[in-house]
Amino acid sequence: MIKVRFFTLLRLFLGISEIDLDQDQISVKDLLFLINEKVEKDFLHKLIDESGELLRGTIILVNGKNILHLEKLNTIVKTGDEVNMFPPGGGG
Amino acid sequence: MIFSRQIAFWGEKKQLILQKSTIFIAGIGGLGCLLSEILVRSGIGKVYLCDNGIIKKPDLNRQIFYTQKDIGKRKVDIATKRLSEIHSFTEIVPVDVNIKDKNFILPSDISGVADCLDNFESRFVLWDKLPRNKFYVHAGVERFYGQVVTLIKGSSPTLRDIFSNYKVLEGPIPVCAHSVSVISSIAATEVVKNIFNEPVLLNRMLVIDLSDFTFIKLDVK
Repeated sequence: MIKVRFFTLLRLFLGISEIDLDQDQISVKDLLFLINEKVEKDFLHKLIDESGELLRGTIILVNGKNILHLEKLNTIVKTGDEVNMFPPGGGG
Repeated sequence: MIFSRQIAFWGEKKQLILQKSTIFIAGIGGLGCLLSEILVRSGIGKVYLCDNGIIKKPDLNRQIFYTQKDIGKRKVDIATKRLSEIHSFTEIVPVDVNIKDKNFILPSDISGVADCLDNFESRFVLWDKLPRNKFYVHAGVERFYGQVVTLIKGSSPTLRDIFSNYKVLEGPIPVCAHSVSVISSIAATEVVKNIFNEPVLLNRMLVIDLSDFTFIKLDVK
């Protein structure tokens, strides 16, 4: 099981706070497509551009590490891992 | 005695530690106003107030030091005056510079930094200028949400490690007094906890969302 949690604007948009995915291992990109199917809301356009690259604005942490410092969207997530996704507050 | 109500629960020893501490507060906007006021009312020894901004009308919805008669004045001037009037136990040092100025360096006598800035580019510059082993309490806010985390230069992940992929918004950042006051109070508490060497959010980011009252700590690596 992979636990994915959404915060702030993503939670507001999706209407759910988390989702458990019954996967042994999966790339972050495939995980996002899978979530998109399950939640029946198109949230991919908020995260991935037309060329399949991660859009700016959302921090995706896999076990506390930003995927930009791992393998980006190709980062492999395994069962037991935790994925947290949120747009950070930038103001002061 | 001004500090008797807090000494009653955290003790004189910690009050003395506070009196000997110095914090660099970067940004005296929404977060920096309340955070600096809490630190001064707590009896911290010295604060540097860093901001090169001028008070504008849209600041008045959340930047508690400023009123309509202050529009057009320098933030550090009004903030210094306001804080100096509370009591005379804290040395208030205004720093009217842009963090990104090449010649700017952090003062050598600081215990740590409170990041109350309003953009990640300046935050990354501030982080780069922080000496090793000093603490950095980051706070950020937008709409009804925000985050607070403590990082130690040299042993924690860097600010860029965590916040790579931030987005610069076009136009002003939507924000209100409700989220600013909660997040700045938490950040001020975490600064004091760092001073007491008891940080709660070291390498743990507290994400706060007032739209559904979410408070959750996420480990960062």
